[in-house]
Amino acid sequence: MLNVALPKGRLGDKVYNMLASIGYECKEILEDSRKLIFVNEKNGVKYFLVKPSDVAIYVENGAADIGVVGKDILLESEADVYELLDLGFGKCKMCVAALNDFRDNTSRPLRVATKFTNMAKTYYDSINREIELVKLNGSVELAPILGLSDVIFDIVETGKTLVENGLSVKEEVVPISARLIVNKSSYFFKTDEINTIVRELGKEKV
Amino acid sequence: MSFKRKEDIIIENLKELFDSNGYKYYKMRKFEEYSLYMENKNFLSSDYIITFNHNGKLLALKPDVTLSIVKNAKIQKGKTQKLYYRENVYRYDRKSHDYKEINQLGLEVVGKIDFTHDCEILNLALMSLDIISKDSRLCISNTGVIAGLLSHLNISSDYYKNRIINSIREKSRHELYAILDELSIDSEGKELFNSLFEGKIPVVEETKEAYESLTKTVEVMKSLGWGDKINIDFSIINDLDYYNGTVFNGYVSNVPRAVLSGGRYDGLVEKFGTKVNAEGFAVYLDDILYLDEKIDYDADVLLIYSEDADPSKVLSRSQEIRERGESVYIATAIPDGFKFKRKENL
Repeated sequence: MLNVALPKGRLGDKVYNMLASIGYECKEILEDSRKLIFVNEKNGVKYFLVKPSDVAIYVENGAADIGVVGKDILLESEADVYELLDLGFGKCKMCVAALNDFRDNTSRPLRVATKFTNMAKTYYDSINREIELVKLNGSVELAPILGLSDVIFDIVETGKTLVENGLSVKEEVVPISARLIVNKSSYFFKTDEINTIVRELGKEKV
Repeated sequence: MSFKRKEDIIIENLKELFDSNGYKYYKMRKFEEYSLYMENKNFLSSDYIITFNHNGKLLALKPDVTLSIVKNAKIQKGKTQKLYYRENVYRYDRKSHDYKEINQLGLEVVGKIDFTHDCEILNLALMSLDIISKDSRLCISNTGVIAGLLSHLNISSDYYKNRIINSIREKSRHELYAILDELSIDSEGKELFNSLFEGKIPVVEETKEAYESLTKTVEVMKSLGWGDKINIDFSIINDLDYYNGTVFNGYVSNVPRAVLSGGRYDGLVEKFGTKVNAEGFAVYLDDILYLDEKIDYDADVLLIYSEDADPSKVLSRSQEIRERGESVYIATAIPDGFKFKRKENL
């Protein structure tokens, strides 16, 4: 039985379709219901619908053998898992952005507003810039506009939100996309099955 | 019928295994000076240590046992010590934002470790895993392989080394190739790294020694019958400054994390001033607790006695039941939610 943690939403739907096409179909999941666990004994698969930011936790703790998660959430969670495939979709970039006319005053710590506190700390550590973190949970673009921070450390997709709010990208930190992650112990007991999935999904990827 | 809990049986069997191989039980001091850990931060998995002040000295609750043994075990050249221990260590878990008490049972060999001793330690690791579960895997690597490969390709910057090592640790082929592209590594170089992901050892001058050691070791383990339980896997990586040679992790099915971890760490002992060999491993007992079978009954027999019953009759009856191999719980009425196989009234 392969246990799969699927993120709720578009990403999960896409991943389900990919897995279904390589033999892990479980039609029940397409029905409109509030169920969270779907089993197909014949195909040997169990799917869980999980909050995207929790996928890595389920996989790390062995509740799921495999899962799909954005590289941003994966890096932020610092989960100890294998990352076997870059699925190539959900592409965006983790960036530092600020008001268009922003200039860094290096005589004092940089105030950084972000949802991704671990990633921000790691990045600024690596460039030896002292920062003050402002942890926010959403609409992070507001922070520099209202003077709550100097910059934001956030995901940028098309860049439209930034432009419309008078902000622009100052640094591109790391490219983000959907990744296939695997529990380290499961990998050794389901090696062939997992390698087959990686190979087949690798063919399908964007 | 045994009333022992599964984890206690495992612990007893592990201790017996080590005793019968001539390993001596080593009792650790409860606390160590904080400076021991401060000076060896890289060896530890985390910076957060529980400390307290005692008579002006800053002491720590041990986050690790190996460092204590290396410091205290009166290491002398020419003398080999084989020790095992059972200790609690205290580590900070970033995810739960809490300190955890981790139960470890492990062994260390300090002194002269020839190839046969290296094999003995691995054999003990495999036998330990077998005691825990019949469905287990020991994944083994040699630090010389990755170190040799990095040296062969002249990759010396810590920045790139760490990124490469990280991508191998995560089995992230795609990340590794992106990094190799940044370094303009040619396809021949890429192919060398690629073989790591296939569990094959890239053979170049700098990895030859590690290659021979790893191959010979696996051959010996296979000849002892461990063929289907041992894998060469290069994602098993520890700090290259301390570990030099064999490194390994052990997994059992249905437990998400490694239950066993170890390696050869001459480098660490050398930092304490003595040039000797050192190798060992630890078994993490906490995850094993969850392997236990479901408890269906609180006791086999619920022995109900009336308020005017003679205590010696109650206790004798309880004794009789226990001598026949059943567990028994005495009470004046059925406790709320109590599960039992059968009931007796006195």
